[in-house]
Amino acid sequence: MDSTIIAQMAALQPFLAIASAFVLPLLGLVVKERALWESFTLTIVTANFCLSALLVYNLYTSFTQPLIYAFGAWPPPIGIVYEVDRASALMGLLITGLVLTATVFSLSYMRHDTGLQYYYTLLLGLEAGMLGCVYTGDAFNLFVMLEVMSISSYGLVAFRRHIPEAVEAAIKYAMVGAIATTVYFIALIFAYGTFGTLNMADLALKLRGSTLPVTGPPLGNVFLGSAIFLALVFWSFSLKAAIVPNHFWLPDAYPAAPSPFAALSSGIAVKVAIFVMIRYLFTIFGGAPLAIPIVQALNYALIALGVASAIVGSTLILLQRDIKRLIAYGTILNMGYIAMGMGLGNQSGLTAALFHLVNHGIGKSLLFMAAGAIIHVAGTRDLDELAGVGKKMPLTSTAFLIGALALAGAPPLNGFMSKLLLFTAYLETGWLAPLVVVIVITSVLALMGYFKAFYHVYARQPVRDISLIKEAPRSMVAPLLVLAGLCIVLGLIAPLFVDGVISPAVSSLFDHQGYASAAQTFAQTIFRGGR
Amino acid sequence: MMSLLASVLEATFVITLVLVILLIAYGLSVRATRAVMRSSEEKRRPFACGELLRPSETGVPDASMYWAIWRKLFRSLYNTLRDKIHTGVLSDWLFWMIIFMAVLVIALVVMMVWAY
Repeated sequence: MDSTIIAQMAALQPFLAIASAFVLPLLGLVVKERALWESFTLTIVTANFCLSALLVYNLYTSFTQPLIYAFGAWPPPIGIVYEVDRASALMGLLITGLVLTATVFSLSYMRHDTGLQYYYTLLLGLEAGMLGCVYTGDAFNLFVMLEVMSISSYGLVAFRRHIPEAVEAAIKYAMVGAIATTVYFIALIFAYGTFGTLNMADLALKLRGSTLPVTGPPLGNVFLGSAIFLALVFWSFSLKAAIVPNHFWLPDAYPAAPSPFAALSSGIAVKVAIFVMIRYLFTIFGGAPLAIPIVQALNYALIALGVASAIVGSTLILLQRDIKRLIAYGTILNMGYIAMGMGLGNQSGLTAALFHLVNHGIGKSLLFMAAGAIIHVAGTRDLDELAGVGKKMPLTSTAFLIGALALAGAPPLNGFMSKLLLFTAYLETGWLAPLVVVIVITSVLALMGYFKAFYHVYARQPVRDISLIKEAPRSMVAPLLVLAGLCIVLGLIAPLFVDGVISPAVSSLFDHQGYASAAQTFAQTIFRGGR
Repeated sequence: MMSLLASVLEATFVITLVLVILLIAYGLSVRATRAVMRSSEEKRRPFACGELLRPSETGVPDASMYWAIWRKLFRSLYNTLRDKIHTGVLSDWLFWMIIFMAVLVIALVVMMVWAY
């Protein structure tokens, strides 16, 4: 297939989602039929999933260079471009896949709620924002899509606005999130003041003494500008990624939010923030002679904060009585692992980080949805009150157990395989090898925490009448079984998956030259009157 | 690295096979002893003032005992982590977030001095 058509597939996905998000409330004014809103949303998210799957297939089989889509045919750096490589295409597939499962799950989960056209509007907005963040090749467009993602998230946390806890959590989340996006905006001011461009490929080129057409050489002190920019980016995206000590919003936001959103946010939205950090630290600034000490310093900071996140998450997971809060602390723990992998700054560390990112995305979505199914049926989040409920829901309990074991790192499930890669990556480093102790101890604590949840829900004697409780509806169980199946399959085919999917994606993240030259060639072709 | 993952998969397959055999053996033994258990079940029913109690009301569950000991052991750590840091108050969160920002700025200044 032609590269232009493949690039259009990438650009179409966020556009389709955001256009549908605008259409849906209008549709809701005309047609008061929730089945239509649900069908409409399901059609859009399925179409996006198919497009992203096609994009991944083509990028992995037919193209080695990133693909460029220029909005309005304006060449970079004048116009906004999407620059999609294998890593961003893989993230896109994960995003659309999880949004599809969350939408199917929502059909029954949100049955008792009103104003569903707005719920699905926010869900589509969230998908558009996340896809835009991973596909974009423009730092300012990233800010815009980050806001689209964030505002949808705040709305989804506050969706059940009759619950005071949800409103309080949303306000806190919005205030903290607004600080993060403002800090990123300030970072962009420094970047523009220093480099005179906000195109990501142009930034990468200018750091290496080259430039895209139109813009000239950097305007300011590149070392100082890069240091301030990266420090601010690091701070703001560590907040979005819930890395300690910027993690406080997460355990408050998820318990109050509808479970499909918690599954999406914990499963993929925080990963989008991590992916943006990877893009800046490895693809754009990584390997640039002037930025090497800055990136190195931030890598050490990532390791330190990753260790802190793993310890804080695994310690607090044991204390929780609220099942969703317990799972939320597990996210902080696993974001710590991903940060630790990134911090190594080499191929094996980033392979472990990216594989764990995919595995945690699937496993965490599974856990939140399974917990959501249990809460939906039992009507409580308190582990003591959920005692024995799991026995009445064998399929949901099985899915929950598989997700918990995967995230705790039980072989042969996917979480174990990525933790093993992280473990070996640290052993290879030499002086950082003692940190494997942190991985082992926090994994054991996580296992205890997840086992506590499973024990309460499944093995304990009921403390109230649960005779009327039965298995969750099929549309809720089906996504759980799909995700549980993925946890098993990805574990069993881990060697093939890492070799065929993760490693090429990691190589594309390290390919500074390929990322920059793809945009340069594209821009030069347009300026010469091509395309 | 790939060979390591493949070896782990092989080992896991063997462990799973052994576990399945053990589980089948356990299931068979439970089935064989079920009749004996049934005959003595009535003797183990808890009563208080002549009323039959539900098992959950008869005492502290074993799991609660376990977690009580765990919490007792790490009380000071939990007090610091939960009650002093994770207070749920927005201004407390901002305090830690600003400290993180300050540390980043200081690290930046140190790095600049070191680099020049």
